Amino acid sequence: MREVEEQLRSEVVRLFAEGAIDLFLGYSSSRVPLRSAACVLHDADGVARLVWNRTCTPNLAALLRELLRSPPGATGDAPPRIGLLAKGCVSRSLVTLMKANQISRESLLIIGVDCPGMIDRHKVAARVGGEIAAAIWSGDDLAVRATGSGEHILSAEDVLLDDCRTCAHPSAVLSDRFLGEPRAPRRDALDDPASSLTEAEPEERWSHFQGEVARCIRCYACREACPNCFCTECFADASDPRWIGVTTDETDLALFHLGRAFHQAGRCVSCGACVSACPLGIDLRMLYEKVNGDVKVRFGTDVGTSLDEPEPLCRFALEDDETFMTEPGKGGRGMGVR
Amino acid sequence: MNERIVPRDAVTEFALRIAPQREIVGPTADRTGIRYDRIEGPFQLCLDAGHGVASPKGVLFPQTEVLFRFPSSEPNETIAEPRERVLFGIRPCDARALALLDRIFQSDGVEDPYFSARYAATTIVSLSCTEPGPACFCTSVGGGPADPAGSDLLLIGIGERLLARPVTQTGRELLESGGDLAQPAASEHVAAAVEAETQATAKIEPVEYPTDLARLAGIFHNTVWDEIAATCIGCGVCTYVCPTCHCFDITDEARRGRGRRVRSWDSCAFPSFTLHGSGRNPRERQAARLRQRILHKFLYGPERYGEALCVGCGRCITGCPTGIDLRSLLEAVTVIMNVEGA
Amino acid sequence: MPRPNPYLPRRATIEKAVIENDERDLKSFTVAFIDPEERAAFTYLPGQFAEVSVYGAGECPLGVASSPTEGDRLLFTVKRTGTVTDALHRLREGDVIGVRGPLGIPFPIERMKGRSVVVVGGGFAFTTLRSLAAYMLSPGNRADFTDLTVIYGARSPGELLYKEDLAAWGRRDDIRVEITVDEGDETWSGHEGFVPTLFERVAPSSANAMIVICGPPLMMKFTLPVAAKLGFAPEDILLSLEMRMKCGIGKCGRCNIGSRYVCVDGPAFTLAELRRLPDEY
Repeated sequence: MREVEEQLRSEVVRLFAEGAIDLFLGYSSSRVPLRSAACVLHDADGVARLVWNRTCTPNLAALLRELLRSPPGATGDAPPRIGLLAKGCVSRSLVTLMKANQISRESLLIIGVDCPGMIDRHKVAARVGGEIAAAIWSGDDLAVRATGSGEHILSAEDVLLDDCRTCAHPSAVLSDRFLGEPRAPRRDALDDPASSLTEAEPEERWSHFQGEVARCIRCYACREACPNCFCTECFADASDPRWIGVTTDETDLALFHLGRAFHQAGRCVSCGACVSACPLGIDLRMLYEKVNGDVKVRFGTDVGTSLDEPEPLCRFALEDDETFMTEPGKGGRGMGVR
Repeated sequence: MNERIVPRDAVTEFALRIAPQREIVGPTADRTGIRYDRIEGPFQLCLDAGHGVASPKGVLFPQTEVLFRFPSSEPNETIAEPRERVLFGIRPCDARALALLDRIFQSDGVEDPYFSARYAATTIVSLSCTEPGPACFCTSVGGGPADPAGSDLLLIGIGERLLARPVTQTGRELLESGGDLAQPAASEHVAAAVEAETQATAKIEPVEYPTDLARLAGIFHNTVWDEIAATCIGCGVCTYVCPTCHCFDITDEARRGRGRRVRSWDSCAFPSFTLHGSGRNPRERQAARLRQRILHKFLYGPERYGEALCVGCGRCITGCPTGIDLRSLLEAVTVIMNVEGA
Repeated sequence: MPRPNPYLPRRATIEKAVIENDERDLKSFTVAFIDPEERAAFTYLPGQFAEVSVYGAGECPLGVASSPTEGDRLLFTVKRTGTVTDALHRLREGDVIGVRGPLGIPFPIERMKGRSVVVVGGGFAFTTLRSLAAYMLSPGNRADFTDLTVIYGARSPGELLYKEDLAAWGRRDDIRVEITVDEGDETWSGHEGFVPTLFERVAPSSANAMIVICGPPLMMKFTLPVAAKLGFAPEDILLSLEMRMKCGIGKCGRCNIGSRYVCVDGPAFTLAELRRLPDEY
């Protein structure tokens, strides 16, 4: 990654010099251990701040909403040409957003990279049992000093985001430049059963779900960190009519998360940005993987891999599996009905 | 001095002994560190794992709170006098934050009875920091790892012991009830506490933050706000984990005329916060909303309440999904202010 | 002693509900507190507002349109714009609502005494201005002020509020009342055009005078330069702000602008004060 990081910096310098981009969206180092920050560069001056490492968790595609709406320092009317760093999942989000007419291909200059997988800060915190005071990498090993519990040696593999463990497309699927060597899709990961809960009894799934969402503080970090959440008004914010209450009562929390999950069906690229964003480390993935997995199994979608293929919920084919309607309760795997 | 020494391994016993009739709330182990919960027996208190993702603000100012139910006939029906409670083992920054909240909830000649009643019934026993977190900057905003502000009793960690220092009369009385678990402190203990505080303070990176209010006000229209907000995604993490943010919404929930009026935390980071019924929004852009949060803490707070509304706990920093660091923002704003502010 | 609860509304009965305009989205409610003690306890002056509850729908801030000189009934005029105002519009005479207040600070009546007062209003934001005019015109108060001028406009004749009051004031010789509509109809023989234009034409003297302006943002924007041209000093120009207020007691943060809270420091501010605040209103 160090090599790609160097290449990235010189590429960005070149792009600014050539006038190919107005802004560059990437990651920069953070003063907080094991974290990176999203960063917007206006010129090549800040290029040394750019990093590419295993803490680059935010999905940068989610930042395009506000950047395209009101670019910082913009003077003219023309939307800025934005260069951005795209790991596999980010590139698939870009494809999804293009198909949903949220961004145009022309406004972006995509620098694709291969991603070795990002670490899950919540997993690290759970392992060390305290606040991460300092961290040092040595290859794929990580030495972490935690407040109150001393030093811990971890391997990146042990604390990878679940979405990265099962990622089928670690390399960018769409790019103008690619830094390093692209990797072929990981076929072994394509049929990953995803959620460990899928096969569990409904009662068990329900109680896991309730236990998880009970932690929610409704900060909406999951929603705002998600490129798919581009609705002008979220159902959770609507006040007239108010679809759900604003409280942290069980019902309101469950409805928010179920509503958001249904909106992810066939659209979630499994980037793990929401999981990383959630301050409370809620297992959000179970829901999205579940609904997304169902769409994948039934309609053979591989989200965000093709600009031409229509979205699964926007097309109809005679051979589509309809058993969930015609034989409810008997349908294929995982429709949540025994 | 009436300081006492409490053995660290007897701290839960100490807590239970000094507050026999009261509910004790303190840090308990959680998968993201700690959370503030009721302590009912041994092995629950978790005093070494930092100050938690979420602050103890929610103990006194719950995220969702029923103001009253309707149809109602009795005024004041819902403000029951809260139980006497001890908030045990919170950090000095959070104790200071609660005192700030109390001030805000008492301001303008109108008391918020819900918060005030709980705050009045709460005794605060705070624990000094020996290992500050990676984003702590309390020392730059008037606090410190052993700051007594807002505490009734302050415990300062010195190796295997805790030096218990009463701050208020309530704290003194509480400490008295510790009996043989709280032995008189010797001068070497007091010296060790000073040393512990000095060492902890040295671990905290100072942050330069804007204190010249007139000049800070002068850069309201500067583009620095757009620059620092470029990666803000408009979620409410910073405001919800903040121990001093206190904005709330009031809504009704009812079916067929029976229901409740509830208040819930709200956030200036959300576009809906200032959206008018007409569709007009005075803070339309994310940059304006982030500026509001920072200026509310560092300009409007000092102007209105005489104090910055930030205690330097760093939760907004570690909690930000895109890695926005308040320390860096404050430094960037200070630089611009020194150059541009009139 | 129980702590007073500023969040608890006092129950009040709707005694009268009148549709004010052709569009039928403006309704005036005359309300009375059920408990006589609460009726007496609600002491207010023009410029203040109240949080009005429809239990189950919620609360909304409404300027008090009545004047304390008119008795102990309160008048609220409500435009139907959202959940709460919609629910209010559905209520009928005899229904019970909640009223919390008085909130905010009144217009600076003491500073107005011995001076001329100009009231400029537009659209449905004429509520607290009606209160002010009625207050100044009451027999015991009229002598405290010198010249009084009311300039008021709406989109069309059918959209004018308080038509009876306007007519009654127009018949008096101790107040000048000038009304305009953006567009007249066959029944209309008065002024046509926007409020700022009429204001410039009427040109009330700014000598020892104060002016109170309330209306849609655009109207305020174009009225201010005229006020300046006529010589009104920023300290003597009052603007009443509409802001999303929730708690009304300076706690919830919603109406915060700079170091001010519209609900406790306003809702009316002098232009001089507003200039010291960020333009976030």
